[in-house]
Amino acid sequence: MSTRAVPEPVSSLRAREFEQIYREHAPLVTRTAWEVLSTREDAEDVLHTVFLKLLRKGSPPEFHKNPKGYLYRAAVNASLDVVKCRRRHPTLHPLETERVEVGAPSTPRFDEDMHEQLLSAIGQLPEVSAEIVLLRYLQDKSTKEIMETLGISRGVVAIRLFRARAQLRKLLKVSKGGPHEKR
Amino acid sequence: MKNDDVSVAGTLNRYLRKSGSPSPKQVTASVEKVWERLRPEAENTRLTDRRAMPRRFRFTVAFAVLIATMAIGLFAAQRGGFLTAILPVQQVLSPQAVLPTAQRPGPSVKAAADPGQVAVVTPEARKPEFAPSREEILAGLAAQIAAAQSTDAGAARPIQRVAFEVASIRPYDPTAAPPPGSRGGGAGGGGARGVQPCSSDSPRVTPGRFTVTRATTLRLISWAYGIRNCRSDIGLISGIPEWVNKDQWDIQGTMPAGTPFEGRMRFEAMNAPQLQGMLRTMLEERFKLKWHRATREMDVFNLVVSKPGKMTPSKDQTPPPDPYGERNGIVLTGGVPPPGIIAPMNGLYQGTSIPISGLMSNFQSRSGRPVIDKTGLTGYFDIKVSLSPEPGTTPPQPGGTPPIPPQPNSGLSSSDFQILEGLGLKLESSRAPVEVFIIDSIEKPSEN
Repeated sequence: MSTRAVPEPVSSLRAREFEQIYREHAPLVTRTAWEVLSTREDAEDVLHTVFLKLLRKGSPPEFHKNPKGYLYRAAVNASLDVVKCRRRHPTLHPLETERVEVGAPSTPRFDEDMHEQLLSAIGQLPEVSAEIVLLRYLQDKSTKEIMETLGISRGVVAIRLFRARAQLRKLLKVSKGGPHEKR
Repeated sequence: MKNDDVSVAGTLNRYLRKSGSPSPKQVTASVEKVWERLRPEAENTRLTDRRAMPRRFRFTVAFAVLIATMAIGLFAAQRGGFLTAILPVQQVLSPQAVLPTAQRPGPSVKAAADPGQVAVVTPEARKPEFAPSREEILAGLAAQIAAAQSTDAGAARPIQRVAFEVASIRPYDPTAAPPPGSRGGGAGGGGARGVQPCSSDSPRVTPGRFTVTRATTLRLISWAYGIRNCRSDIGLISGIPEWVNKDQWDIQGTMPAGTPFEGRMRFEAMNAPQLQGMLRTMLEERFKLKWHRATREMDVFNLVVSKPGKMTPSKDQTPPPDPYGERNGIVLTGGVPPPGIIAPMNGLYQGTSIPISGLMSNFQSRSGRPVIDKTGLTGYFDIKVSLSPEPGTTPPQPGGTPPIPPQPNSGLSSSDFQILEGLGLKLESSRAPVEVFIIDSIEKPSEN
C-alpha cells in the first residue's frame, strides 16, 4: 500500500511564500520609513503600503534582481509620498504619537521645522536623487553601499548627489553663512 | 561653490538625523502589527511574478505598441506635411479643391451629366433643356455613356491642385466670330436672351487645350465639381445668383506642358480630374467662387431592376477607348456606334460597353429629381432597345400624349419609359439624403 503525500493547500503556500519575503525585508522598510517620517504610525502605514502593493501588483523584475534595493526604494518613495501629503494637508501630530528623539536639541522647534523643511525639499527631488540623499545623510551609508543598494555606478551616485545638494540648496535657500558642519 | 555644497551637507547631517533609528524591539512590534493586517490578504492572493508574462500576451503588447507607434508616426507625418510632400494626396487642399461629387464616396447622386447640354452627335442642333426631343435624349445618353470609360476605378484617384497655364474668359459676343478651336456657332445667338441656366456649346478637349463657347457659369460649375444633374430648379445647386444662370462666357484654357490627355468623353463623364481641377481653380481664382457642400433629404427616384435578365453583360468588361480621340470628333460608321457610345440607329437604341451610370444620366436630367442607382448592376452592358411602337401601344408623337404616363412631377418622356422597360428597369419614387452644392459667394470674372 503506497502512501501519497497530501498536498498543502494552495492558500497556505501563497501565504508562506509572501510571509517569507515579508519577514526578511519588513524590518528594513520599517526602519527606513521610521527614520524619514519619525513616527511609528507613519512607518507602519508605509510598511503596509509597500507590501500590499507587492502583494496586489506582483513582483516586478527589479524586485527579483535586488529585493533589498527594491524594497528600500519603495520605502523611501512611499515615505516621501507621505511627506508630500503632509505638505499639502498639514495636520497636527497626535499627542499619543511616539517619537524617538536622539539627544536633546537646543532649539527643538527650529529643528523640527528644519527637519520637515528638508524632507519636503527632498520630496521634490527626482526619485533616485532622493533615495541617494536619504541613504547618505539619513542612514549614513557609504558610496559603495549606496551603489549596491540601488544598483547604480559610483559615478552616478556622485553626480546625483552633487546635483541633489545643488537643488536642495536652491530649495532651502541656504545662505553661505548658515549653519553647516563639515563631514 | 564648494562652501555652499558643504553647507548643504552639514544641514542635511544635522537636521535630517534629528530622529534616530527605532530600536529592534520597536521595529519587530511594528512588523508583527502590520503582518496581522496583511495576513488575510496574503492568504487569498497569489504573489505573482510580473516577469512571467505569457508569451502570447507579450506578443499582443508588442503588436499594440507597434500599431500605436505607426499610427502616431503617420499622424505626425500628415500633420507636418511630410506625406503630402511625398505622395499626391489631397488632404491638404482647401475645401474648395476636394474631389467632385462623382469622385467621392458617400450619399452622392450617382448620375451622369446633363445630356441636353452635351450633345455629341449633333451638338450644334441642341434644343432647349426642358423640351428634349427623342434624338436629343439619345444623343445625350450617348454623351453620358462616356462613363463607360470612366468606371468607378478612377473614382478614388487623388488629384492635386492644378491650374490652366493661361485661361481666357470673355463674355460671349453673338456678333463676334467664334474663337479658334470652338465647336459652337451662331445658332441661338442673341446673348442672354433665351439662355438655359445650364447651357453651352459642345466643349472641345484636345491635347493641351480646352475650349468652350457660350457656357453659363452654372455649366462650368457643374463640370468642375462633378454635379451631373445641372439644373438650378432641382435643388442640387443652391445660392445661385441670376447672372450665373444667364451670362455666357467663351473659355479657352491652355494646359501646362505634360498634362495627361483626358479627352472629351472623360470630361463630359466628369471623370477628368486634371481638367476639372483646372476649371475649379479658374472658378475659385477668377470668379472668386466660395462654396460648400451639405446633405439634404429630398425626393429622389431610385433606379431599380423590374425584370431581371434584360441587361446583357458585355463580353469585354474592360473600359472602352475614348471614341472622340484627340481629334475631338466621333464618326459613326457601319450603322453601329463605337464601344462606349449609345446612339439611335436604324430604329434601335443601341450601344456596347455601356455602364449603368451612363443610362442613369438620361433619366436624371428630365425626371426633375436626383436618380439613385439601386440596381446593383456593375460592369459594362450591351444595350439594344427597339424604339418602334410595340403592339398595343401608341407610338410617341411629338407634342402628343406619351403612351406610358410619366410619373408625377417628372419630365420623363415616352422614349425614356420605352428604354427603361426595354432594359427591365424602372424608376421608383423615394426620399433620400442627397449631397447638394451651395454657392456661398461668386463674382463676375476679372479681366483677362
